[in-house]
Amino acid sequence: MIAALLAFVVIGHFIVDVDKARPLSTRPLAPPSPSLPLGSDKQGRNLLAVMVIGTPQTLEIGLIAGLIGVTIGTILALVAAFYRGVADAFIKGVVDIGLTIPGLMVLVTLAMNVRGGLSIPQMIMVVAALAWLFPARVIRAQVLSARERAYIDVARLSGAPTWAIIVTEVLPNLMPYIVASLVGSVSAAVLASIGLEVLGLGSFDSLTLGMTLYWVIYYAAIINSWWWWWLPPIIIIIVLFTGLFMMAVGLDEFANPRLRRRV
Amino acid sequence: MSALLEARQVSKVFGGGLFAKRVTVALDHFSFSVDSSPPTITAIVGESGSGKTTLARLLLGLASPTTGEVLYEGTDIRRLAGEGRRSFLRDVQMIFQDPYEVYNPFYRVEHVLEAPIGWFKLASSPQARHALIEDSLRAVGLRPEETLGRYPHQLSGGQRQRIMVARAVLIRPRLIIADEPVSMVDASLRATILDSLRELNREYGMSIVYITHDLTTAYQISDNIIVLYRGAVAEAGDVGLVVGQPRHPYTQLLINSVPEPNPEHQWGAINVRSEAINGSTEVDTPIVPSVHTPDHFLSGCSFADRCPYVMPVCGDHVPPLYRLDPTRAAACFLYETESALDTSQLNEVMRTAPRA
Repeated sequence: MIAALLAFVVIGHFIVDVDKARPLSTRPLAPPSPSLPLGSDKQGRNLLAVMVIGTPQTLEIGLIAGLIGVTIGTILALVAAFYRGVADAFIKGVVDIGLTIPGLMVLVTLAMNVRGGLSIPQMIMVVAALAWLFPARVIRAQVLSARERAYIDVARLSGAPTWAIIVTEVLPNLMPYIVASLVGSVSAAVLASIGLEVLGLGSFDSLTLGMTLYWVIYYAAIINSWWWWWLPPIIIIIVLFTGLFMMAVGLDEFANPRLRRRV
Repeated sequence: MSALLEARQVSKVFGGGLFAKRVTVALDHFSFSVDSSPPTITAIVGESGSGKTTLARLLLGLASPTTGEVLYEGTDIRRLAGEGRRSFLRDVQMIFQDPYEVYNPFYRVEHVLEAPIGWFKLASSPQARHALIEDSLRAVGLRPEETLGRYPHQLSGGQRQRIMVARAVLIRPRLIIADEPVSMVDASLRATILDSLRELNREYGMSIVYITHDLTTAYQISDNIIVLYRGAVAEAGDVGLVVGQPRHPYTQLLINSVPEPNPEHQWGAINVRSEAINGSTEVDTPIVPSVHTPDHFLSGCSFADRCPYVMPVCGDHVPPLYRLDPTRAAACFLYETESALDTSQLNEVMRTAPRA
């Protein structure tokens, strides 16, 4: 499904003039027609072109923010669970407190302090700032259980230093969890970025799915029954989330040799 | 000369935090040493919760003692670093109880053999490494072509445990601590694994500390035996003497608990001929052991609440080890007349030569 989405974007780049995504490039508020397959919005953007440009940008925000979040979360989780002590208490405290604060509120506060809406890199940083909390917590719990396994003792008796035990013995078994939380983080990051944009905190120049929805709400497209305006971004978002879920299932199969054997 | 591995007054206490009043004494001032020459097999026997596994983990430095120290060639193993630690790990290895848990499910089974080769630099080339792995597998009766390249869940428990023995063959330590190596393996395969251990002892000259709850296998393969009860030594010495004519009431209970293939015989209950102890005949009813510990016994002998011969003194004092034979000692006030041994002198009653 992600592949279908990527194909849509790639093929879209060939058949649609992406410059048409700019305002006033076509007749405003045109319903779908052969020349404008998805119609246009009130500011005269070709909506097909907007989707072609907006989808990868939204995905990019989600992917990069999710990756940053999971990487930081995993490293902190390993440090916390393997070395315990003060580091663990500190990381655990920050994560537990951080998770109780409503994320969107923090994001909104952060975003409001950036003048003129968030550019895409800024959006990534803001979303990633919270994306590491949940992976850190989930993975720390897994590491705590993994480090008590007998094979960790065997590795220790085989002369492996602690860093090697973490990398070669613990990390591979965490892959399903890391992938699962990566997919979760990407979803959460996509959602957070869309949320911020819908609230009007994104950059007005950037064309993402979230900004499209912002304009949809701004011009009250739903009550004006301009369905071709709001339906495509929503369908794309649904496809995106379903695809991420399927990816999690597939990667789990890859990371778990027991499941692989049955194929 | 200092011993290869020596436990000196080692205790391990679990629990007893800020709010938890209950503490579990897993090991109580235990002293013991193993040497590599001549290679001996020492069995450490006890029921569940008697501190056997804790002892194994302490001896290997996988857990730290609450008090006391474990010495490797005279150095506290917690202070070993770099080269010293590497040589300690090369000399002292472990075979674990659970052949399912010791494999990382992510890797093929040869991972447990390749890891020590890599870290201890046992092979100079990939060919040498492969030869080493194949030789060690053959040494334990496995066919390399049937074992290598498999995932742990594709092999049986017995095969996996033999690969762990192969790991020991490959590393060639001077001492192996085997923590219940056969308790989770099919009965039909136990003999093979025990034979492999015996072979490690005889052919490769490795000393073995065989930890088990099973007196029968202990009797079969070991030279010396130490019977633990709640973290303390109950009886220790030559395995033939201790198992053949047990003197400590707990050892007697253990021997009586060995199931016999005879439905007429009720096991697990003591029906000890008390005249064998001191000539009196007052105790003759079977005593089914209870497992709770009344608090007032904590200051005395830990076996007092289950002991058929309990005396007033047992509740007040911890019995020292009494030397009953040149190669046997028991911690019981029934033998107060014999000469007492300090707990650190436990090794004096151990046979240093292998049993014929």
